[in-house]
Amino acid sequence: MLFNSLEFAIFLPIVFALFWFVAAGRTRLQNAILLVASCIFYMFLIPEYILVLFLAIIIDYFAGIWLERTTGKKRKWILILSVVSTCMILFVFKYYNFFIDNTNHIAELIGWNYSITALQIALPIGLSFHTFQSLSYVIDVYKNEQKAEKDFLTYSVYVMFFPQLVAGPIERARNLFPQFHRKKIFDYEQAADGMRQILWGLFTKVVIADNCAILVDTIFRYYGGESGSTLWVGAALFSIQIYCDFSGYSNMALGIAKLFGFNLMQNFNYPYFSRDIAEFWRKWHISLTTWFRDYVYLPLGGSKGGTFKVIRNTFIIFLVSGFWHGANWTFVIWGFLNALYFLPLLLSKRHRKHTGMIAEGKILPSIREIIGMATTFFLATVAWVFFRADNLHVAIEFLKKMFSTSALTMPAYRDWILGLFIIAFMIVEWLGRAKQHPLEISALSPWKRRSIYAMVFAGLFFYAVYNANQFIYFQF
Amino acid sequence: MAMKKFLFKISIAVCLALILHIIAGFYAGGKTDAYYLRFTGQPQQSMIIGTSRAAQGMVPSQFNQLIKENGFEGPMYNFAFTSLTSPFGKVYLNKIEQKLNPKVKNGLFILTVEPYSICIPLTDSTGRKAKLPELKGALYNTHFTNVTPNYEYLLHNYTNGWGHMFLEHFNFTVNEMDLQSDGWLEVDVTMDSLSIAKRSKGKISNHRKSVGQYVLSPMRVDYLEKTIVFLQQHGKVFMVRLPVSQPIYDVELDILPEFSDVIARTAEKMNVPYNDMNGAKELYQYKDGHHIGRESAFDCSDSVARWVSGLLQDVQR
Repeated sequence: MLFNSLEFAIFLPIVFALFWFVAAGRTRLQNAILLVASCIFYMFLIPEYILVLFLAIIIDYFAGIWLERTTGKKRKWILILSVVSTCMILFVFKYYNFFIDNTNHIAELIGWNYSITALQIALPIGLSFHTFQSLSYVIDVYKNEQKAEKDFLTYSVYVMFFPQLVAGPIERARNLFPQFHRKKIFDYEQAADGMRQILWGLFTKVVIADNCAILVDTIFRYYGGESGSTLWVGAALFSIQIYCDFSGYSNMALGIAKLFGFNLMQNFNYPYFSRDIAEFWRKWHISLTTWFRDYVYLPLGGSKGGTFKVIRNTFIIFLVSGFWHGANWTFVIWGFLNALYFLPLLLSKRHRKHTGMIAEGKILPSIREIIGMATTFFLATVAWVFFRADNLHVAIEFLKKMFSTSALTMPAYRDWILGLFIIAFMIVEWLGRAKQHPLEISALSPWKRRSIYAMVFAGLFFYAVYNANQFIYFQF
Repeated sequence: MAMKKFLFKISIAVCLALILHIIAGFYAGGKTDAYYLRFTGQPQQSMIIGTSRAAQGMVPSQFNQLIKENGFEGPMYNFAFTSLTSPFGKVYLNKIEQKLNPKVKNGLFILTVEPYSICIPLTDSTGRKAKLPELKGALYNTHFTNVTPNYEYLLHNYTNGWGHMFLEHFNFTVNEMDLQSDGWLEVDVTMDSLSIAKRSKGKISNHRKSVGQYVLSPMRVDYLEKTIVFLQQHGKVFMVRLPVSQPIYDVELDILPEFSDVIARTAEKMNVPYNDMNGAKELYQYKDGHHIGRESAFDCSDSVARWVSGLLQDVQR
């Protein structure tokens, strides 16, 4: 089920009513309602894949309990067993065909008559997200940073909580478990803020991202016949599309969770207002970045140790991050490029230069900040070409054209209305950059608030695209 | 108290949004999309059946004189869609049954055929076995066919914010397509040689990709016959293959070489007159090699009407 679908518009009020009216004050019943609702939500896509999800839940639920009851070296083996089993599911569905294709290709190159048939299976939606969420729980239990959850219902709903089930944020057990155990009291301010966040998420998805997608899809499909300037338009629009698509989803997820009294972690913190690429990565897909930091980068030694170790760890984390996004060399190169961007800052110890809010207390950024933001956007845009392209050949040809003399001509596609919406969107994001989401406007007078709602609604009413475009991150 | 306040405010917002959407539905029309109007209005008496070639290339008003002179029940209505949504099959036949007034006994039916309307694709874009393309789309997901405004259709198929219908209605948007009240899809694109060449290049290339990807479907041929049987209960049926440009015609020969034989056999079996207009394909101008241009659509429709008229006169003699 998509957040921007008619089915979800019917589904959400029903779940809300059951949660707050039928199960009011009964925490376990509320959790049970959320679990059933999450199953229905998930089964709208490919119903049988719910079994895959439950297999992962069973493995890690028992692994957690087993880990807590066990002492000594055996714990490590339980952890390895659990992590390998969980990752095996991910491997079979997501990476098996990639490895088979590459193995077959190498075999063919060396003249070895060797061929394994690829699997004809679709990737369960959001598999990488709930796999990582399960893994973090087991690892935290192993490190004694989290108590094992004995209640199967609570553990299941932790993995399956529908607002963040298919595209995150990848939550930590320490944040969500206490919320599932806590008695819920309806909080008007929280629910109203949730609605505002949903509204903004919907706006960014169906007005900005999906309108950008129309042009982006055309330009990437017919890039061969387009000028370099048109390809720049396509690449820049994709940078905006992917941000609005994914942050839109995250905002809706956070907003929906608030309607049920839950606070999920912030996943985006206005990343395109970053002054360098290190700041960008602290603000982009925060739940995944911090996951890699805590469970991959720091265990490897982080930025401690010699230069070689720092370089190695940086490349590992970005390459793994790229590979997490998809079993395709384009994602690996995307990760590699970002590592290249990041490394000079890390080695010169300037990677934490910009930790505060940009232009804090000011209306406009300084010239230096504008240059920093433009450079970050430029670098991110070049890397996104690999992310969007179907294969490496397309990405390289696309980039060649972007950096050819035809980039100095007028682009073939000009959508002024979309341009105006993007500018309006950027202004609203800039003004709201100190908040979790830009529509956090409860402090404004009612009439100012209503005027803002009316403008956002007008955007949705007149310019939205509802062609059931899946969220880009569902495929991961 | 907090919940009451929340529900009250949400209800007001939802009601306002609903009212605006309901009003917008009344402004849906020919510029809304390429199909909407065909799912509104009254059941019809005489119809043109087929894919996008007929939707754009057959102008119903060109048949009204013929209908009047020969005592057919009219006026003519274009109920053709696209090769993806309306190839011959259960879905299309159901919709034709809904759109045709059951009381009609002497209607005129122009049934257009092309390779895609009797073929099925072998695989989808991911390489897996293809499902029937018509199993998603307006003909499949819309239950009501003769309702104005048709909110069911709009909910399932309209892909813009509903406020866009106001903009379309008051001509604030640039629209190449305008679906007329008689079902004709008027497509007004630039017809200079460069534009035609560019569009044709893309179209031919797309068609070439279909070679080897489609196969003749006995199910579709069976439904073509069922469609003819149904329409014959309500009047006279004439079968036409509309003209296309030579390169598209050549590609279609590669896609389904046996097409002409299959259709000729079906026409004979069902006792339906058949006219392959590709013998005179050079008489018409094409937008993209595949669809007849706006001006040629009138000529082509006239030509079909004259052919039908000639046949009827022969019978009378």
